[in-house]
Amino acid sequence: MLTVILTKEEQAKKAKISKRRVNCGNGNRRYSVTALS
Amino acid sequence: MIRILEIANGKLNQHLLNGAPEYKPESTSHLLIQPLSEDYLCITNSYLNKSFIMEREDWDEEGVYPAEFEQFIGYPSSPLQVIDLPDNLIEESAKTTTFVIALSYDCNLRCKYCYQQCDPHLDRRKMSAENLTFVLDTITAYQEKHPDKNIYIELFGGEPLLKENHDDVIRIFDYCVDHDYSIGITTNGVNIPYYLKDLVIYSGMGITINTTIDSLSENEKTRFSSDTGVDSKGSSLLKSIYTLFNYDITVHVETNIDQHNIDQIGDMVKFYQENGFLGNPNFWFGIARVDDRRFETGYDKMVTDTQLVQKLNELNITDPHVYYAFVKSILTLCRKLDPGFKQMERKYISNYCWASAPIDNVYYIDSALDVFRCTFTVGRKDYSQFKFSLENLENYKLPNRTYMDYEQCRNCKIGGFCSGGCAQSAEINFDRMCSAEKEDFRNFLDTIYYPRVKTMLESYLAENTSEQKELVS
Repeated sequence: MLTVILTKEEQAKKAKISKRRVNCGNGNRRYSVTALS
Repeated sequence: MIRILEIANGKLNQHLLNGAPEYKPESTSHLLIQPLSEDYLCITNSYLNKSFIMEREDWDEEGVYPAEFEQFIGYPSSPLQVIDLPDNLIEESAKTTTFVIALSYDCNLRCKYCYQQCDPHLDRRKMSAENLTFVLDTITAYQEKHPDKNIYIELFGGEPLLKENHDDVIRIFDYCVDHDYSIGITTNGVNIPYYLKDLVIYSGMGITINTTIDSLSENEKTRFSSDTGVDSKGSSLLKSIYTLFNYDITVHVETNIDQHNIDQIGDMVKFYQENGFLGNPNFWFGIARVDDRRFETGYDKMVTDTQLVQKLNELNITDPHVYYAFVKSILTLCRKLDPGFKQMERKYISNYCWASAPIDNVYYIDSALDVFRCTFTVGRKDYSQFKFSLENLENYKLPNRTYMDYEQCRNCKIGGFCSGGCAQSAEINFDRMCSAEKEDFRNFLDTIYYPRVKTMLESYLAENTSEQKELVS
């Protein structure tokens, strides 16, 4: 596993985006076994 | 009375046809008829999506049958618009629109089998800032006009994660965050380490990485790439992938199978299972096939759909996160044998592939605002469907290509399943495509389908011996 070190500002940005999460797309849903996952 | 044993959902379902003998077929030449034993026939009607077993003595060619028999051997007035997938998949597609942005067709690899990069006329120029603004504004306007639509954004190319695309990629990420859209990125993965921090920061918006590893061997590059000096080894990519899904980013790794790696599939699945990939809810493994839809790459190490299905049947992969992305004309029959068959491609029975079906709203938009439908045409200007704009988007009608598009397909024994085959192949060399489809379908029937159906019949007869005696008496 690669190491990812975020600055405080980056951590704050990440946290803000996480709160906005609405749906999780499945970029390969045109074929996937569980197309609605 | 005629007894029909219909092959569906992995079993034989009995129908007893008692109707008055008033149906006389005009023709039976569109049917695939195969003796299974001295007493039984398997009849497959691709146009009505029926495959069933009946007793030979009940079959009278173009004779007279109970009225209900028409729904098994008849010929429809128009192509079936039915799907053998759960209804909610169709509903989900109807309310979803996917905009796939190709920032440029430039790529840092030159994979030998790549349909796009082998095109000498490929325009590799990057999308201008103005055009990117126009694309994003148009998507916004589309969403305002269709507030109930779920919109997905995808990045495609060329290679979208080139270093010179960084600012545009971040701009698109920010756009997605502002609009609550998730994003999928089709990438060769070489630059994932460069983008890793960004991907982690933005992971909350829902990112899916679609990438390819064709071999886990240390001595091979991932995509049979010609030497561009770029490290495209699977081992490098695996480290990146492992990191991504542990940061809650969905990763689909697909492998393109040909003669050189078909015997590695089992080891690949084992590797992903033993090393914490399969089993992680964010990781998916897709099995695809190297193909040459336009007969142009000269690649001569391909395998057919049936050869690959045979191999996968031997391996009996049960992991729910392994899926297939290559089966075409034989897909419907594969699903009749196994309702859990691992490919859920949104198309009607009488379409060859999702790109020729009127179900998925997917638009590939390139740097010059040309819009493409089929993945194999992206970058070939002759196949541009329209110039991207709200008005053109609203007026565009999704294709519904079927056997009716070709006179020679309308009475072919596999016409309802093959549906004219790949449009790209048909355009370049219809006869070559047609004979390859027929040959592979025949191979599928002989080596997979009929042997399985025969086993199902034997089990059925063994379980229903007493009933069989009653029927006879």
